[in-house]
Amino acid sequence: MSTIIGTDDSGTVRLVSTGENASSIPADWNGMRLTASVLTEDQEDAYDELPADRGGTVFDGKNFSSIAADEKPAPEKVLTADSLAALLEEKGLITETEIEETKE
Amino acid sequence: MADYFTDALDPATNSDGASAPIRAQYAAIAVGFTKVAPYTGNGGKLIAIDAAGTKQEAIVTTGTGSGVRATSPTLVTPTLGVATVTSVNKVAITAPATSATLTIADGKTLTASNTLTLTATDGSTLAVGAGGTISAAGFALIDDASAAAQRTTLGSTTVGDAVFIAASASAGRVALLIGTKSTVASAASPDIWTGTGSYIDYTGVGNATGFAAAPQAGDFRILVCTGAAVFTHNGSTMVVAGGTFTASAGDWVLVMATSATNFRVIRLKSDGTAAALSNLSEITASLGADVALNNTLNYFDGPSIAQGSTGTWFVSGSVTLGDSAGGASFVVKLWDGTTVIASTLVDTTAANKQICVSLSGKLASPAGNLRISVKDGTSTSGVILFNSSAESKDSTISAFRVA
Repeated sequence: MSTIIGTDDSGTVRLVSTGENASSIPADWNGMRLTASVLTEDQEDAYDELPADRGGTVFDGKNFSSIAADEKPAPEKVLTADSLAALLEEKGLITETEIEETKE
Repeated sequence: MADYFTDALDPATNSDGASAPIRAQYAAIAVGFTKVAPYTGNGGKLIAIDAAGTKQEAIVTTGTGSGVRATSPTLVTPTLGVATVTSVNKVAITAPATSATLTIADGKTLTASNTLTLTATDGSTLAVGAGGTISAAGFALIDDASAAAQRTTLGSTTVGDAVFIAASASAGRVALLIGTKSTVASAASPDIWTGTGSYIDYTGVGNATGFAAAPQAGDFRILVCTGAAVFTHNGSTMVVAGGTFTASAGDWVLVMATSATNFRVIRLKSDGTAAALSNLSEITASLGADVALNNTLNYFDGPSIAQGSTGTWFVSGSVTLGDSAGGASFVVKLWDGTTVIASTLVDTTAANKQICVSLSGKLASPAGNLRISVKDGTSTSGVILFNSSAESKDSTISAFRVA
């Protein structure tokens, strides 16, 4: 069984799964596109060695870094008006013009 | 002039020469000669004393050479009729009670290298063919690759090789397969039947969706995987126990041909544990970061898994919730994006007080990712926590496929 992580575009680890198939990580989660990565044994060791009381984890594709508990991303950044608008635009549900008109 | 002597006249009685005594001697001699076997007509015969012991007689012989006496005679190519012997050339011959037959075909040799007793139902035939195949009453130990081609050897000179017996296509027969190990590369439809043995090193990581046609139903092979080869279940021509799996190096995979083109596949794991049944697969996921519940009207996904839409799943999970603004009411549901499996409403008593909610249930053919979603109906400061415990498992979901 391998460790599989799902990271958002910023590299923040959003979901952590175990298994042999990277497809266990949803590609679309809370309006964010997640990228699934199957960790190597060395990466699993590095992940396990992160501070237990961390507030989050960032993975750059090779290495991990932890986010201190008091530096965790502000909750409102997870889903803001802008990120929601960008998501709707990406899905073709709204145009950039309509976004601007809404802001006005 | 008359002969000097005849048996009747000369010399005359009382004449010179005293004929009477001579004649008497002559008669005695003549009688004696009548007891001698004549040469004429008796060429090649032996002379013997007749049964009455009164005269010689010529007896008919067979063969040539020296006469035969009782002790240690030497006979050259004699022809014997019904003879009685106790041994020939130091080979003891046990006389049967009445009669028996030993027949060796012309030009053939019968050799017994060891003491051997053959027993069988009267009338049975034991045939040992040129290829070394043994057959009894027509039921043969046949070559695994071809019922027509008889295997030439039984056993193996390789230590560790094994011999397996499997059912043959013909009732009452068995296929004896020699365990000489061969190598077959993994492929979409590998030929595992042409090799010499039933014990195969199966190399590579190819995805087998079937196998080349087997010689007959009942044939089987044991594949010893050297890598992460894949065996794909399709439910018809390729029935894989437990469903599709990826082997580990050292795993044994037993392939049985139920017909020439239909196969059953069973995995025997090298570590001795039971083969994981892929249709009973397990998926677990935990949040790797907090999830903000920043809209009181919306559900936000907590831990979620992409298990696909096939099968029936038992799913269980928990989420840890809190709200920094004050006590809050959370609506929590376990669902697949369409069907709610389980749900609840819970409250926290004050700001930053946390509560753990556990939900579980079963769902067939999920429409989407199984997940626990939460709505904070009180404020936009709610959070699904991932690591309040410093164990990074505060919000976790696990699903097991059960059918």
